[in-house]
Amino acid sequence: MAPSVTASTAKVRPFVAPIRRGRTSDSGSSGDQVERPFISSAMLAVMMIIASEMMLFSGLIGSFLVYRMASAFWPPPGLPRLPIAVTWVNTFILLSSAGTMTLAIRAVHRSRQRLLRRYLIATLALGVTFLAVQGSEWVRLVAHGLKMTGSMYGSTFYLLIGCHGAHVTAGVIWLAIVVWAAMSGRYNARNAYAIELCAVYWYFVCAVWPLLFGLVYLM
Amino acid sequence: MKSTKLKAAAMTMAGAIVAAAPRLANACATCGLSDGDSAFHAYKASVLFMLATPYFSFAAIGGITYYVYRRSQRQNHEASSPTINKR
Repeated sequence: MAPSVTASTAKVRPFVAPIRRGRTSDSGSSGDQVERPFISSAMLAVMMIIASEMMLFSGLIGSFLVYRMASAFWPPPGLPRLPIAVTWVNTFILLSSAGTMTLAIRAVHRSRQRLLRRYLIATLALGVTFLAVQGSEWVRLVAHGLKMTGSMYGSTFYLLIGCHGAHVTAGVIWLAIVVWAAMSGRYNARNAYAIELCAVYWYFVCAVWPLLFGLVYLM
Repeated sequence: MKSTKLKAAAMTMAGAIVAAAPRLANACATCGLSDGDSAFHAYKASVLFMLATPYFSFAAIGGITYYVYRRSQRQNHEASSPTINKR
């Protein structure tokens, strides 16, 4: 006769340990001690990805610094200035999304489903708004003659800001998946690792932007 | 045999070009710049920034890992403490 497997024992955790509940040891369903690392493999993987992304941005910023500091006039004569006021607002929008993400993390740790959904949707909406404003500004800049192939000024601008925009887009897609899962009530205080992984990536995207804004728009 | 001679000729030619124009063979971004050229400071700032980034990223990862470790230790301590202390 085959051994029966109950629903609780048949559950398989996708990651080694959720970061918040990471403990060096824990008792399993059968009562035996299960060793768990204090940080999950998925979180380590996300941090490694972020480290490599930091190197990517470092290279791009390094090339921007060479062109920016070596040129006597920036922007070069005849090319439009970047929209600073709108981008200040956009910066505030993106940093606000980091705040709502923090509130979502707090809500999931307290298993408050309605608040969690509300803050996650707010984060997603703020991220989409940031992208929409960036996109509209790009359209205006292209209409004013700032093109990728026209000058080094345009090339570095579109490459740096576009690379960040691609990362925000990836974060928004990830957030949309998390929101979709949160709508079905998948997350709670014991199962919050997916939101925490997404939050770490989103914090990275939000942390890079002020640096880029200061360098590209204000410097 | 023919290809060996061609390779030798190409290598001799390359060596002659390098010897004739040592400045072209100098793999230095700022060696050809004049004193006071702003590109010199630009390259310096860029290289310093890119040098600092790996240290910063490792420090950030180390800091986050240490923070998570301390939080895990604190949670373990709270979980193992007697119930009477939790009042």
